[in-house]
Amino acid sequence: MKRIVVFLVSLFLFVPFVNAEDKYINVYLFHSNTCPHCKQELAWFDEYLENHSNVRLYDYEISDSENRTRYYEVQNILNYDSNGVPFLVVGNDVVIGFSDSLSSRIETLINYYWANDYEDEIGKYLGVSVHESNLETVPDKDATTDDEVLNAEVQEDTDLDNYEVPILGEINAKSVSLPLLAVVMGFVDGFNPCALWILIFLISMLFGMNDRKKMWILGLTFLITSGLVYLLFMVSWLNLAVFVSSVDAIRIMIAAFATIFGVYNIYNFFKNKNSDVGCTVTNDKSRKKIMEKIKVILAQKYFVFSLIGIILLAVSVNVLELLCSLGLPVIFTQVLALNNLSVLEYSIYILIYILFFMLDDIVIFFVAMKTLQIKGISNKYTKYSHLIGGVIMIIIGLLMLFKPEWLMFNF
Amino acid sequence: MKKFVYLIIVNEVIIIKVIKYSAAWCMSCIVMDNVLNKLQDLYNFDYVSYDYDNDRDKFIGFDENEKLPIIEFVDDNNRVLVKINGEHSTKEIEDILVDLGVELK
Repeated sequence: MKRIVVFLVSLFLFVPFVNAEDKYINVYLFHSNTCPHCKQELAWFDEYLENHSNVRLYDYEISDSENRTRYYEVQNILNYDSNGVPFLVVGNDVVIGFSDSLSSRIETLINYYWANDYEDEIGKYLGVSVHESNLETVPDKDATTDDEVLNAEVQEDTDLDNYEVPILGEINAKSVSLPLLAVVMGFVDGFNPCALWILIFLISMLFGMNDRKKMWILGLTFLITSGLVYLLFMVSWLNLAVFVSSVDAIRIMIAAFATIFGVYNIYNFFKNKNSDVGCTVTNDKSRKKIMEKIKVILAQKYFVFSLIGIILLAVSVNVLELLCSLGLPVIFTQVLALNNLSVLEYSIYILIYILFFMLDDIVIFFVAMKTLQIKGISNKYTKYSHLIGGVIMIIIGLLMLFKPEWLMFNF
Repeated sequence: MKKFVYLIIVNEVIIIKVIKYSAAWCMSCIVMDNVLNKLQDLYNFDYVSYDYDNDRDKFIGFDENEKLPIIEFVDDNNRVLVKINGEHSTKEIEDILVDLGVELK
């Protein structure tokens, strides 16, 4: 009898022990091969899991289209809208990004959900073992019920990208580097001669109108429409780039394109370095057609027709001329896509790019309207823009290939 | 005070005329318009301008790959003394003319 009692007591004592070992918590990590913080988080989990057998990590590399679908569906379930990785789901909470301070938050969340009941909706959706409801738990000593922590949307710790700069103080690499890149690339791209000639010709024709107000309206309409076409193009390309940003083959393809195009630009610069700086007569037929169109548009009896004509002209010529400056905006949007930004941030950087892209057009137009004289911007700047553009393309191309994390300004 | 450009060959004095072949859509042509206007203010030479799209016949004889604008300095008999292509500064054009033996007065 005594033996039976001892056995039953032992069994009783053993049961919670077995339960505690069997009880586990699933965490779901969506990551990308190109993302340095993802690698850090995976490495951190490798170490963490060695000492925490109650935690099961399910990781999903999102360059795989099925995983990517899962990634978006999980966000749907959790009511999230993010392009950011690493994207970790612990219970009903999400941790985007990774840093030392975030790792302790991850631990806190794991401990909390391990100790408390919750419905593992993500586990159900992903079809992995679901955390069983448990009432007999041995919470980790670090477990917390701090609602503030648990209800907070945990964002990537930006301290990682902060640097101390003399005079300016602490600056964030990402918040400075991306706008700067937008300014430089937009400005260099702006010296694309393909579309500039149309503005020059339009201004010279506007001078014949003898109506300053109409001249301003038509010229500004042309500029704004051109900017909008470029915006549309960049937004479309960005959407595509965000969609395929984690597909290595695409990234490598764009990187190779950037490098080759960069080398070609530099080759062109040195090839033409000592040749005369001037205009070459090309596309004679299409140019004549556009010039005729401009003349017809400006000769309209009703101003509203001229206005509509200018809009249509700006759309058509800018779409056709897009190929002329395809390189830099494509590469710039690819860099943006790598950075997993919010929609607002994407929009701001693209608008900065377009503003500086159009800066020379804006200056030429405003000076012309004010002075009734067209002041030319030397074509030698176009020549040097090829050199600078080429160097930028090569640098970005090589970084995209070998150090993509540097393009996220995580050095 | 306005001046004239003279080409002095031995004892002969020739008045130089400037012919510019350009295009309304060409940025370099606009840049050179400003340069030539400045030079004309200084030396008051005869100045003729042809547009690529309106005066195509005047461009016959030029290579189609030639950079615009094309600027010719010609003598009384329309003999081309010197021809330059593309963008040049005021100083560069003055130097070209001096090298040619032109006396800038």
